[in-house]
Amino acid sequence: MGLSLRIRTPLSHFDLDVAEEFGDGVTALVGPSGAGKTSILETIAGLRRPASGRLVGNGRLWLDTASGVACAPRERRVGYVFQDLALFPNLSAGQNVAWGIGGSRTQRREEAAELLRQFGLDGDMDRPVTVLSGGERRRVALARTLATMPTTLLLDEPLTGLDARSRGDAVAALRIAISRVDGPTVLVTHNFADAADLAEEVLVLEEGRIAQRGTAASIGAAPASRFVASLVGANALEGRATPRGGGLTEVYLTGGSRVLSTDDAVGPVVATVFPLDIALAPAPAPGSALNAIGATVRSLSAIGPHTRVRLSIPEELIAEITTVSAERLGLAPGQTVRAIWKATATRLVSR
Amino acid sequence: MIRRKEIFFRLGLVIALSATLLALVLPVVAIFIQSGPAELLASLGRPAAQDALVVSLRSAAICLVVVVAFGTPAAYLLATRRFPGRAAVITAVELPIVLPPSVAGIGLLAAFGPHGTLGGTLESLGINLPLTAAAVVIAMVFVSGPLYIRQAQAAFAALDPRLAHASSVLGVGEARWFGRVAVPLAAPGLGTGATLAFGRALGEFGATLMFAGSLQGVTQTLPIAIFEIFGTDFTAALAMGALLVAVSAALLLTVKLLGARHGAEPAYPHAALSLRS
Repeated sequence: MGLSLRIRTPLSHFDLDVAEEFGDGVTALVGPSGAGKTSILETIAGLRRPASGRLVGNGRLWLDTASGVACAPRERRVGYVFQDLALFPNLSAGQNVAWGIGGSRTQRREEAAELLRQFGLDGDMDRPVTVLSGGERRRVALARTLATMPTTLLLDEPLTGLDARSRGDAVAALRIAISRVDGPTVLVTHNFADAADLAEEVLVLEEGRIAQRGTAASIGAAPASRFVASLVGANALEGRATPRGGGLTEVYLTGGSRVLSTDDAVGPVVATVFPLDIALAPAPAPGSALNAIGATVRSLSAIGPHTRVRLSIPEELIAEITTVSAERLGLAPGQTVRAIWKATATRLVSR
Repeated sequence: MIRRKEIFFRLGLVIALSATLLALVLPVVAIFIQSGPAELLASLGRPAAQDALVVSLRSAAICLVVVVAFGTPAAYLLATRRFPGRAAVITAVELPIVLPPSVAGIGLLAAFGPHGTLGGTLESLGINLPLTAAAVVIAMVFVSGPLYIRQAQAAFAALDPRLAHASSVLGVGEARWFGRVAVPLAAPGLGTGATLAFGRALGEFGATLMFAGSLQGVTQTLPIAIFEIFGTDFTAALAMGALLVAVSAALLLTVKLLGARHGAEPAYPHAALSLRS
């Protein structure tokens, strides 16, 4: 049935102003910390009342400030997995899961045990949550949330702070939880990759407003602003565009360099290019790429087979190349190189 | 130059601590220097001392039950709700901490005495409070209650609000949340507050003397008995003083251990005694 949300409310540094529909799949709200993501979740859950707004959840009116309607959290049947999980530290895993279950003591215990089993926590019923590992605690929190059979699922930064290996387990557990909820799931994250992994649709939130909405792939391919570009990990370069003919657009960057793109644009633009699309070569440049810009190496950081190179053109430009080619080029801070990428890899967004 | 400044500063710190110890520790140590163990035991055999100890412990225990029973929910309310006049209520609750004992005694008489605000009502019910065992408890509640409520309020306020959110989203009422999670999680702070309140009740003197008097076996607490006896029998007063010091020290140690077990410096004394925290 989905969620229909319209809220306007002051936060500490800006106004939160969002009017969006959420379908029954997984929708991610992506933005930096402080953009208002958690405030939206809390409003959906009924833990926060906006200055003005209207919220229809699964066909029922949950909130309407104009007519004074405000359902209590328990009436909304929302499952909320908090960023810090908010498990009750004085209770066992089983007691945590049973917290929202009604019925007799045995009934509650059985249901809790069954939920724990589904999340691979068979033997942990009576263990205090404080002795469980981080991954086990996450799964207890998911089981506790599902125990009330919610029809809306809210996930606040469910993958934050995980190493690569636990991340895979956490994604698997989240998929189980998401599949068990017959309604919309709203996922909040500051990490675009998390959204791309779990969500069918992505809403980018910037200072209380939706900056872009689409699939993760479409936003990643064409970030609509400098802000979205940096969020998805692309380089964002400001300049002025002039058509050059032959299907090419020329962009003169603020720092003086020239960039070519196959996109059409005129006037002030942001040119975006992903670090992986940039190759480095010793000056002067060979090859057929249309963009070959003189750059100075500022710093290098090798992450296994990949090396991130911070360049100055003089705008900051990040390139990601293989560690092998970084070594072959003998890259070192202060060195002058050429940054090369194809005109088709340059997206232009009008400012 | 900097070097010499440093030396003076450190010297200053040591002098300050020495002066502090002289002022705070010497009077306590002196009690034990001046009274031997034999005298201590002999004086404990006196009926007056035994009666006083019983009155003190019994009254303080009843006081503690009253303070915890009413103070815990009251502190929870103050910690979790925002309402108009909340700051005024909190100030009113804390005020007895800084009132002189004589003011407390006068206030209790003015409220519950025969001609006091509630005196007429109480009299018509056949209740006469002043100079009774109940008066001792009331005086103790008046002075020790604020210490407990302060601690309890801080303990409840320190709970992660997300835990309460999680409980309410799961559809569970606040009463169950309070009993099963909030109170158990606040228990170390509540324990500290209860210990402080009990210690304060045991040490209560001025307001009790004015409001409850000094009837041996009924209202004469240990501090009052010491005051009564020290003019005529200084040695017995010393011995009873030593007893009170021993009980209080054991209490403070309990507070420290409670705090240490939970990996934090006990909130006492700065949290309990500073007016704002």
